[in-house]
Amino acid sequence: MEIKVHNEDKGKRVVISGEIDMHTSPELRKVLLKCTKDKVSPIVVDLKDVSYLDSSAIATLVEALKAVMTYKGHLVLCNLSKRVQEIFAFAKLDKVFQIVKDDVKSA
Amino acid sequence: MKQVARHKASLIITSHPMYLSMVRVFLEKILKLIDLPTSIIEDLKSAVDEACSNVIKYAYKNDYTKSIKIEVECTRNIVEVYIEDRGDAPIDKDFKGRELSDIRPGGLGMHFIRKAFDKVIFSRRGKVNKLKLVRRF
Repeated sequence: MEIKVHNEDKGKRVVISGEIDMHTSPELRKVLLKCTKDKVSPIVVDLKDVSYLDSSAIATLVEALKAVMTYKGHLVLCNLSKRVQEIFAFAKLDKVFQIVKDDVKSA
Repeated sequence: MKQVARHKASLIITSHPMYLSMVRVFLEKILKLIDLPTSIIEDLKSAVDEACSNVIKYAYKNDYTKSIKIEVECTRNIVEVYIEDRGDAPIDKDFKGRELSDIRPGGLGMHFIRKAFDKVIFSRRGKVNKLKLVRRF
């Protein structure tokens, strides 16, 4: 897994590629917790090049969402593959997260 | 009578999360031999990944030096996966997972396992935990 963080006009874009699993999700958690500690908003998590995502990845994103909500910020997921969308729908999280195709401004 | 192609393979990994990707590749390779649709292969792969993650977290309490054996037997009609470890016996809550409506981190792994497999059977003999996962087609 590789994570790149880009500064945007407002907020940050976290671009992830590769597989997010129990081995790699702690690295994502560290990046997202740094953003939430700094009260970044919006945090746009770009999942375009994520080929696999497990329950630890989802737990990490839920934790970040809850942290963002404490300072009334926004966390947006974008560019989800069909498979990743299905996983979020199955976990009943597709209505909990703000999910967009690819639009930072929608946050 | 036409013979149904039966495939059988096993993999032993160290209980470190870095080996989970190897488990997924192993599953994918053997399941492709029976021409399953990609979506089903992905579900089964996720489920076995989650089951091995649970072994690392709950049975071995994040001790990354133990071992996990994954054995797969499959035909076009059935996939059976056996996961063995020598860790602590799981307690009930390890098999339940959280309610899907309870939005909080964690507790989703068992849901992925039950989504992919028709049967999830746990047994413990001596010091060995064995999880049997069955999916029929």
